[in-house]
Amino acid sequence: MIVEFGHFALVLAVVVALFQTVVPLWGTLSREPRLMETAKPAAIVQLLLLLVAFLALTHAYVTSDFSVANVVANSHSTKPLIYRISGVWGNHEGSMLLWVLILAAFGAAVAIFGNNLPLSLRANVLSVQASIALAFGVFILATSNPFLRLEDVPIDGRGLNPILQDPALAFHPPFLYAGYVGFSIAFSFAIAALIEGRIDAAWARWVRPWTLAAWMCLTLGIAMGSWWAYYELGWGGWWFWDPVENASFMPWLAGTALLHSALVMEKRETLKVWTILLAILTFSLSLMGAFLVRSGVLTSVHAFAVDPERGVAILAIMTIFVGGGLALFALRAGELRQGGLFAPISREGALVLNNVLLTTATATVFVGTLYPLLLEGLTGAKISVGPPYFNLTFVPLMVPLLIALPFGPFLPWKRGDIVAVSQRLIWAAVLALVAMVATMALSQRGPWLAPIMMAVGVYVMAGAVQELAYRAKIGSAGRDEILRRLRNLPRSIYGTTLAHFGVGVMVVGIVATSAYQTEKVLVLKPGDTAEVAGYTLTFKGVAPHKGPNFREQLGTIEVMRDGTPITTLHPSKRIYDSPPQPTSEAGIHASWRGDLYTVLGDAQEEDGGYAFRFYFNPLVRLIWLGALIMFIAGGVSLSDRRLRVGAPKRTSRAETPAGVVAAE
Amino acid sequence: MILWIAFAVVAAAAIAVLARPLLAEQHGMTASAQEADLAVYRDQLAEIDADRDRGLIDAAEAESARTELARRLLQRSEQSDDAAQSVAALPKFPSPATIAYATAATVPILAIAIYLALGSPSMPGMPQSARLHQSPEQAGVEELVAKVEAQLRETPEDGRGWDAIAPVYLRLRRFGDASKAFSQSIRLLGETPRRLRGFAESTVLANNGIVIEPARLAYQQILTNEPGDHEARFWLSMADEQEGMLEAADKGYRAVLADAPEDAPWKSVVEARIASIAAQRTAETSGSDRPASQKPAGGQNPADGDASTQPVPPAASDAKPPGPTSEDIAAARELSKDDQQAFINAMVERLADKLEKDPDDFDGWLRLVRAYSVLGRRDDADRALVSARKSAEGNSDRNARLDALASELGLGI
Repeated sequence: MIVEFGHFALVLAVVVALFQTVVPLWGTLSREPRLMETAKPAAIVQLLLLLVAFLALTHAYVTSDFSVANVVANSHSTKPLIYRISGVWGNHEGSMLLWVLILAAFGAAVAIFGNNLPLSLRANVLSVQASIALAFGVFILATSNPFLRLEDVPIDGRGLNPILQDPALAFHPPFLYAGYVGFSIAFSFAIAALIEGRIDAAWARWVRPWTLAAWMCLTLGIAMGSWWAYYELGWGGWWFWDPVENASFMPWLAGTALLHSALVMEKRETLKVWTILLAILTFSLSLMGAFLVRSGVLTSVHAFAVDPERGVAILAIMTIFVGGGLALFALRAGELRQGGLFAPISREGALVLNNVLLTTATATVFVGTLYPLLLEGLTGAKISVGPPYFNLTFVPLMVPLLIALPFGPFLPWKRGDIVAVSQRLIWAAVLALVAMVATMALSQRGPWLAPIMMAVGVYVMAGAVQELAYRAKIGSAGRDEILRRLRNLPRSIYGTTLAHFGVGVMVVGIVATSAYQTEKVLVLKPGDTAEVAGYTLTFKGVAPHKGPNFREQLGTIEVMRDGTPITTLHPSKRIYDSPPQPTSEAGIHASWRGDLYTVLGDAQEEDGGYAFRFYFNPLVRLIWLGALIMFIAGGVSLSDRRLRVGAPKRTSRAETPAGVVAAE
Repeated sequence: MILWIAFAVVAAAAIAVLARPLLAEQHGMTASAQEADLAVYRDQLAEIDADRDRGLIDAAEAESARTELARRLLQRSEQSDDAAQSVAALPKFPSPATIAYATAATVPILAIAIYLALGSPSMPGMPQSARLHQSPEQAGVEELVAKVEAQLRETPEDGRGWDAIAPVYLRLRRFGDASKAFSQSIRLLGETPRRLRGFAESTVLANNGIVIEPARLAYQQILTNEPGDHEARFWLSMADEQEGMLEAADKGYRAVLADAPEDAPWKSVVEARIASIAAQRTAETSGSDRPASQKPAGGQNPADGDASTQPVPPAASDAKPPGPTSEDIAAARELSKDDQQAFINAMVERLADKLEKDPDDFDGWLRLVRAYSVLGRRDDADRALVSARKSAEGNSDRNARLDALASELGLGI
C-alpha cells in the first residue's frame, strides 16, 4: 500500500510538473499575474509529492519489500541498514528519483525564498525548472520506474554491488546530484531572462547563491568520490581522468567560471551575455554527465544503467534542453543591454582571464573525454586518452590561472595597477621561493617541475592570506584597528580567502603525491619485513575473518618507525555473500607527512608468501582537505548578508524616485 | 479501497493548492520588475557606503561606483516594465477561473490514467518482516523456511533450529541444504537415529544417489546402533556396488532380501539391484571390452530386472560396473567437502578410536584408509594402511585387497 501510494505520488508529481511548466509561462506571456502566481504553490506541491514517493521507496528498501522489482535487484535483507538506505540511490531507477527530488527541492527553494523576485521572473524560472522535472519524470515513468512490482515475490534480493557498500560512497551520489541539479537553477534563470528579453538587476545576485550552493555540493561530491576511489579501489591513486570522473569535473570547472563571472555581472552589470551562456553550458555539461554515465556509452563502476534505450531517451532530453537553450540564446542574446566598461588590468579583467582559462580547461577535458568515444563510435578504434594528454593540456592551463589567482582579489574594479599589486604580493612570492628551495633540499629525485609547482601552491595559499592581511591593514595599523577591521570584513571576503587558500592546499597535495609517491611491489612470507619511506613493515600473517555480509582474508602488518611501533594495518581481500564479489580493502596509515598505503595481493602458490603493494603518498590528505576548505568557504560566503537580495519596499511608484534621491 | 481514498485525498489537496491563486480576486500589488530592480540598486548603494567605511574601497572608488549606480537607478525608474518587455502579450484567454476548473478536471484523470497503466493497486506491500511474521496458516512453506533461515543466520549455533528445518529441506528436495542442516543438528545436539538417517539419506540424494563417504559412515553408524536395519544395509551394499565390489554388494543385497518382510514395497528395488549385478558379472566374465556406457547410479532401470532371467545380449550389457565414474565420485566428494567437513571428521575420529581398541576389524581399517584418503590426510592414510597391514598379516586375500586399495588411492605403501 505504501509502495503504491508512493507510485501514485510520483505520477501526480509529474502531472503537477506539467501544470507548472505550462500555466506560469502562459501567465508571463499573457501578463496575467494570477497564472504567474501558481508557480509557487505548484513548486511546493511537486516537492512534497516527490518527497512522499522517495520516502515510500526508501521504506520499501528499509523493510526489504521484495514485491518491488527495484528492491529485489538492488537490496538484500542481510545488508546493514545504512546500505539498505543508500541502496535507494545506488541504482539507476532510484538515483533518477533522487535526481528529480533534488530538482524539485531547488525549485521549491526558489519559490519559498523568492518572494522578493519580480513575479514574472519567478514564474519563468519555476516554469523552466518544472519543464526539466517533467522531462525526467516522464523518463522515469516510461523507462526507469522504481515502483514496478513483481508477481512472484522472491524470498530475498540480489544485493547491492559490494564495492558500493561504503560510507563515503553512500553520500557521494546525493552531493554529486545536488551539484549537478543545482546548476539547473542557473540554467532556469538564464532561460527565464532570455524569455523575458531582459536581465533584472537582481539576476546575478540571485544566480550566485544557487550556483554557489550547487558548486559546494559538487566540490564535496567529487572529493568524496575521489577519496573513495583512493582507499577502496586499491590502486593508490586518487584521480584517474576516467570519463566518469571527467563528467563530473567539467560542470565543476564551468560552474567555477560561472561563479566568478556572475560576480562581475552583479557588481558591474557587464559580461551579461557571457554569464547567461555559461549558465546554459554548465547545466548542459551536467546533463551530458548524466547521459555518459547512464547510457552505457562508458563501462565503469558508475555505469549502472547499461541500456541503450535509456541512453537514447536521455540524449533526447539533453538535445531538447541544450539545443533549445542555445537556440534561444542565439535568438535573444543580441537584445540584452551591455553594461559598464573596464580596463584590461582590473578586477573584471582578472575575472575574465579566470573565465577564459577555466572554460578552455573545460574544453580540453571535454575533448579528452569525448574524442575517444567519438572515434570508437565512428571507426571502432579504441584509443585511450590518459593522464599524459591531460598533463600536457590541462596542467599548462592551470599554471597561469594559479599564478594570476592571488592578483584578482587585490585588483580594484574598472582599472587597476598591476605593479602596486605585485608589490603587495611580494611576501607570498618570498614564501613560495622558500618552499621551492625546501622541496629541492628534501627530495633529490622527482621531476624538475615539481619544486616549482610546490612553490606555486604555497604562493596561492600565502597570497590568499595576504589579501586578508592587507584588508585588515596588518602591519600598518594598531592591534585594535586590525581586530575591528577583521570583525567588520564581510563574510564573502572570508569566503574568497578560504576558497583560494583551499586551492593552494590542494595544489600542494596534488604535486607532492604525484611527484614523490613511493611504490613497492613485493612478495612477503609471514615474518618478513620491508622498508617503505622510512617505515619498517613486518608481515605477521593472514587470517580468515567474517563480517556482517562478507568473509575476508585479513592480513596483519606491523608498522614501525625508528624502532617504535606506529600502528598495525589490516589490508584484506573480501568476498561478499550476495552477490559473491571480491573486493580489496587497503590498509592505510594516515599522517600529516603522508599516507602509508598497503594492499594485500594473491597468495603465492609455492612458498606460502603473499604479494603486496606498498605506497607512500606524501601529503595526499591535503587534496581532500583543500576540497573541504573550499566547501566550507562556500558556506561562509553563502552566509553573507549581501547575497540576500533586498526586498522591494511596498511604496507606491510615485514615491520611489524621491526616496532614492533622499538616499543619495 | 483505502488506497483509492488516499489517492483521492492527495489529488484533491494538490488541486486545491494549485487552483487557489487562479480563483483569487484580481491580483493585488506584487513586486514588479521595476520595483525589484530599484530595491537591488538601493541595496547596492548602501553596500558601497558600508565598504567605504570598512576601508575595502577608497573614497574615489566609492564615488565612481555611486555615480554609476545612481545613473542605472534613474534610468530604471523611468522605464516601466511593459515598455521594457520586448515581447507582445498573448491574449488573456481562457480566464484564470476556467484554467482552474480545467486543472481540477484533467489533473486527476491524467494521474489516475497513467497510474492505472503502470501501478499494481491491488497488490499489498510485502515487507520481509511482515511476511516472516505471518501466522503459519497463512504463510507458505517458503516463508516459514525463510523465517527459520533468518533466525539461523542470527544464531547459527541453535541446534534446534537446524533440527527443525532439516526434514523440511528434505521434503522440499533441497538435499544439499538438508544434508548441511542435519549435520549441524548432529554436531550441536548429538546423534539420534532420526538425524543420522536424515543425514545419510539427504547426503546420498544431494549427490545424485552416490553413497559418498560421509553417508556411508552414517549408515555404518546406524547399523551399529540397530543391527539388521534394512535401509542401512541396502545403502551400504549400494556403496560396495559403486566401489566395484560386486561380490560383497551381491551378498549384502541378498541378505537384505532374505529377512525382508513379505510385503515390503522396496523388495523389487533390491531385486533389481541383484539382477543388475548379475548382468554386470556376466558381462565381466564374458570379457567384453567394448566402451562402457554409463548408467545412472542407484537409479532403477526396469531393464535390469529382465537381465537376470535372460541371457544378456552383449550390446545391452555394461562392460564396467554401473554407477558413477571415478571422476563423478571425486566431483561429488569435492562438492560435499565443505559442508560436511565437520561431520566427516567426527565420524572418522570415532572410527579411528574404535579401531585403536579393536585393531582386528579389517573392514574398519579399509574404511579408515579410504576415509583419510578422501579427506586428503595422506599421512594418516599411510599410517592407517600400515596398521591395516598388521591386521592382515598372514592373510593373502586381505593383503591383496590392501594392495588394490593402495594402488587405487595412490598411497605409497
